Amino acid sequence: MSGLHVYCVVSGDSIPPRALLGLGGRPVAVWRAADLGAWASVLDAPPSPSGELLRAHHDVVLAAFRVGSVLPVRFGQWLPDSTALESWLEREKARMCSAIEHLRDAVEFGVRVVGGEGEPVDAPPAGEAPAPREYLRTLARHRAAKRDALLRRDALARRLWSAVGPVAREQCAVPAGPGDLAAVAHLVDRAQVAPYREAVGRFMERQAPFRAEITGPWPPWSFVT
Amino acid sequence: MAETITSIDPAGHVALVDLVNRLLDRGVVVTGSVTISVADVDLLYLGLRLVLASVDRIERGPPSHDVVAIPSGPA
Amino acid sequence: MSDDDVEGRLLRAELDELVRGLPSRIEADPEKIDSALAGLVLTIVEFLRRVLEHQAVRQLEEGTLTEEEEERLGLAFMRLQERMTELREFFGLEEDDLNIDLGPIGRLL
Repeated sequence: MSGLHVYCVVSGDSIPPRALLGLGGRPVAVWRAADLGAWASVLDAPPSPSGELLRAHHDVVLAAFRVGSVLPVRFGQWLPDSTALESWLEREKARMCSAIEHLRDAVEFGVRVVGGEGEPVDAPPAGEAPAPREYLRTLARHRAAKRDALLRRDALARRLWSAVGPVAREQCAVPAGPGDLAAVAHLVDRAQVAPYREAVGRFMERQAPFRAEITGPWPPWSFVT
Repeated sequence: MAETITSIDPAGHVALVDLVNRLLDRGVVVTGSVTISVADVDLLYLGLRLVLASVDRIERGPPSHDVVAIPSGPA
Repeated sequence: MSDDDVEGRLLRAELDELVRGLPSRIEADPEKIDSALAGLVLTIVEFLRRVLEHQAVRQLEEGTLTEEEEERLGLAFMRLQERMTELREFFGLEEDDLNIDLGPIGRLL
């Protein structure tokens, strides 16, 4: 059953470039209601995530991001028809207008501080049937190690925020991989990107030998309220 | 240099894990539930995120709302 | 930050990852309904298993379990883990929580 795959919500006057293609090479159009626009494609069926489709979705959001304020929509949001999409915009207009204003002229950067040791793997080793009590205790040890890693990441994130707070709007945690000493995202004014990068650089000089991997500028995925 | 800066533009350089963490975890959601439909008929809504929101309550006592929310009529 | 907050956040991070693997819409044609629902059911069971494990570990750490209870819980979780693996194999599902197909590159995690 065909329907609409939604990419993002924008302020009313933003329109998709004519040549912009979305998932499966389908055209991207805008549906409007209540001073808002939703960029979407008509697809034959709800898409399942794949590397290729995620990139295609993100490329559309990036195109919107280049021309103005954008509220990225999570991958996989599906509505049966125009009426449903327009009703959704109407229902949520207060929340979305407020979110768009909140994110106006801001970009997201992802910051990971890397170089730490990996944490123990999620599942305790199966091996040859361990004693049940030992199994439980191994589980407990793994959880304790995760807890310690989380607290250490929190502490480093707080120090990072002290360093970049003056030139960034917000910081939030993002999922951390094993070996990440910190994993955060920052919301930064477009006009403050250069001083922000400098602030991160100065902070990282004090964290030697650890490095930061910074990605961005992203549309503000992590700061949609 | 103490940091590596990876621009996500032009697209293609961005790591899949960074895309996954954003596109599947963040951003606006239309509904917070999983819809199961069979032969194009919507049958069941699973409000799993209701359970996520009440993780703390799981630790302290019975949750006040259900994992599964069955709609009273067709979508 | 209280202990509860940290514990809650750890569990929440695990559960977020699990739920992330679910599509927001599961459309099954009647011929393929078994495998479509299997993934969903196993995700829910795995979800509950982690909550239960989390709770058991907390009680272990708080010292409120007798040796016998530790033994029984450990055994139950070991059995549950085995069953989950069998069920996944039966339905031909991957172990990874994220069912992201990268094509020739393989699984994400």
